[in-house]
Amino acid sequence: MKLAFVVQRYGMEINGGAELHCRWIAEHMMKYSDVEVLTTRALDYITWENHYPGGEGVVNGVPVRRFSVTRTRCPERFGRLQRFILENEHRVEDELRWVEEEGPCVPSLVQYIGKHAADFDYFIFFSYRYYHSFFGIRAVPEKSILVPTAEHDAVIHLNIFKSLFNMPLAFVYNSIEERRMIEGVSRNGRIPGDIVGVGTEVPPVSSGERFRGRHGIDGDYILYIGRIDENKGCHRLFEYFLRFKTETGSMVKLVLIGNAVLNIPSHPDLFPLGFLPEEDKFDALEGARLLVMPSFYESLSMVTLEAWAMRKPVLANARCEVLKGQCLRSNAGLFYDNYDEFRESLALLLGSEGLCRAMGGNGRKYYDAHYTWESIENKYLALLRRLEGT
Amino acid sequence: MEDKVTDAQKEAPIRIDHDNVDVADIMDQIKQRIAQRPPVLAGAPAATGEGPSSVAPAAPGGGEGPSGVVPVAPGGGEGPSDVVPVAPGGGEGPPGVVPAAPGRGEGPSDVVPVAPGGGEGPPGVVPAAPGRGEGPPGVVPAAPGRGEGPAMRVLRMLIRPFMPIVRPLLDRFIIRVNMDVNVRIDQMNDRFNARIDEMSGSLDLRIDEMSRRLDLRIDEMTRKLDLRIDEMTRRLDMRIDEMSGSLNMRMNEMSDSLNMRMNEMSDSLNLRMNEMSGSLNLRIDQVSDGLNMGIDEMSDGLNTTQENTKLLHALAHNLVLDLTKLRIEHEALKSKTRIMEKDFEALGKREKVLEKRMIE
Repeated sequence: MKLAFVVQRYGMEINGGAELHCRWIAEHMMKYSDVEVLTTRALDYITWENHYPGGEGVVNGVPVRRFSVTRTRCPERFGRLQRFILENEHRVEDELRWVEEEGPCVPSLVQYIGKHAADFDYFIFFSYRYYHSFFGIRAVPEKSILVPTAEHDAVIHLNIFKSLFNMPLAFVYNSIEERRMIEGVSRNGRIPGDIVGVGTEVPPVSSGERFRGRHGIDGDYILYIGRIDENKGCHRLFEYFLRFKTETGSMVKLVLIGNAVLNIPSHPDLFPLGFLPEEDKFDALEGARLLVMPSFYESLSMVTLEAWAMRKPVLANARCEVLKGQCLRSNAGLFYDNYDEFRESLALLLGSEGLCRAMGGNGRKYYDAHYTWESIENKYLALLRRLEGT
Repeated sequence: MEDKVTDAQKEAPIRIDHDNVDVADIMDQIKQRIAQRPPVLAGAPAATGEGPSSVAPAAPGGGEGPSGVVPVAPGGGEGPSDVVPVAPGGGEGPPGVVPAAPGRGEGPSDVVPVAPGGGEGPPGVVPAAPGRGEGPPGVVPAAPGRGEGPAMRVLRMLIRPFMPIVRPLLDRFIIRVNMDVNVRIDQMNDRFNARIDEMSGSLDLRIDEMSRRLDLRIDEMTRKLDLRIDEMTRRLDMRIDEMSGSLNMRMNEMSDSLNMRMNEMSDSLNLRMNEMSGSLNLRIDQVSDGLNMGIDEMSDGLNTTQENTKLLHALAHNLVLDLTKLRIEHEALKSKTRIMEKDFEALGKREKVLEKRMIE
């Protein structure tokens, strides 16, 4: 069996979201089939500017074929168009223009898929909203499997996606909420699919003390991992956290790991450490009281799974349906919809070692049941077998 | 930190079974606890300082005039005054309620003397002129309290021509009397002030005592009110639980009856649909049969027409062929005729020539 993984960016430097998800799945599926990744030359997800050399290459043992992006994205123009189509009556042509503006514009990749459809058994597309999936699935609908990585975003309701969601041969969802949302939008319940997600690898040894020593952090701390961005709800997290400290006199600290695209308030108990290597990240998780996830939109949240793998409870934003659903299903995290709930939940978790331990244990069980690599690989193989049977 | 949080948790302890953690239940309890908190009053300052500042305490002085209520000056007097400090401190406060004058009675200000006859009480500090007659020279005499009789007016008219003589005498007399009066006033003033100081001291003591009693009374009432509120809250909770239970029962009943009704309707609908489907199928069969017959008939007619058309076509074809032949024959005959005409003409000419020769 030969599988093609089609994704907007691919590389070892890309360490988040659907791209990392795709890379991990591709690397793990190499054990069972021939794999080739079809992707663009882009590294920057804002402009899609060509960065990597085109043509064939190998990334971490996986063959990769890169195609040139013919048009870079202008964020301002794209923002204007998106605002227009979300706020006004518009035509299908406007939505198609939105797809082209969204990019990455790689007609040669779509042509390649069309010409070489017979060379592959299945094309696994990642991220529904980009050019490569929108036009690529149309080129080989009978062989395409879509991993939508959809968030609760307004663009999912665009008319063009209703038809797109009815085209693929099968779906691989990240969560129940994502499946429910896509089925609600497109009524595509007849198309086979499974809720799979992605696995994670936990290092055998990690040390919170090592992390504290390296970064000079004493006492209890809660941890945020990810891009420090307003879209991720970080501004609200800062506001709530500092208010919590003022009101309760708590000594707890907030450690932030990730690149910042938002001004972080200057406060002695806020520790923005920037982007850290994997080892540091797991050390930080080991030493933390809990992981906080203030994001409004998440398709899966890999760091949440990593926290559970490390037996840490999670405090999540209840407005993110996926995170809330995961917390409820795993019984390994609390969630908040406003400051009062944030305060109560955080105080409860900080005040009860036993609760944190119990929730961390639940998180680990949930991770073992659904998100170990063995389980993820088996789900992909079962889906492929099912498709072979039909 | 944890201690304070624990204090907060004392509001309603959250029950957690650590062996079987139920996040949904914990979140319900958290939401319930938040809902049970008394709402924060709009005017109360928020703990983080983010609350609305609609009512600010009045600043007794200084730069920034407060909005809202300006404190009333001590003394509790109600009388208007020409020295009422509006927005003390010269700040930006709106002219809401201005502080009252420090005077005690309802009398006028402590500057303009008023004849006691017509006044409504003694002024706060400066005593009014004691006499009821005219004031000293240069000072506008206050109107007598009870008005001026006709005899007085006649007397004034009679005296007026002699005023240049009488006035200096009167002035000297009045000034002397006035000086006596002033001395007397000063004495009374001192006594009056001493008395006021004494009364003020005792009043302060009395006010303190009353304030203490009031505080005690307020505390007692607050305690009773809290108890009463707790009791009412308990009763309300019980009532809500009862109502909730009965409501749930009622909803379950309604749900059951609704389900039954929906099942009945569904059954009857299915029955009706089956009947309609049967009759519709019958009708469709009939229409189909009729349609088929019509189509057959039309098909037969169409076949006959087709044969006729074929025959007509063959006939037309033959006719065209014959007509063409006849046309060709006609042309040939015409040519032959023309040849014969020419032959005939030649024969005629020959005949004539032969005749001539024969005659010759």
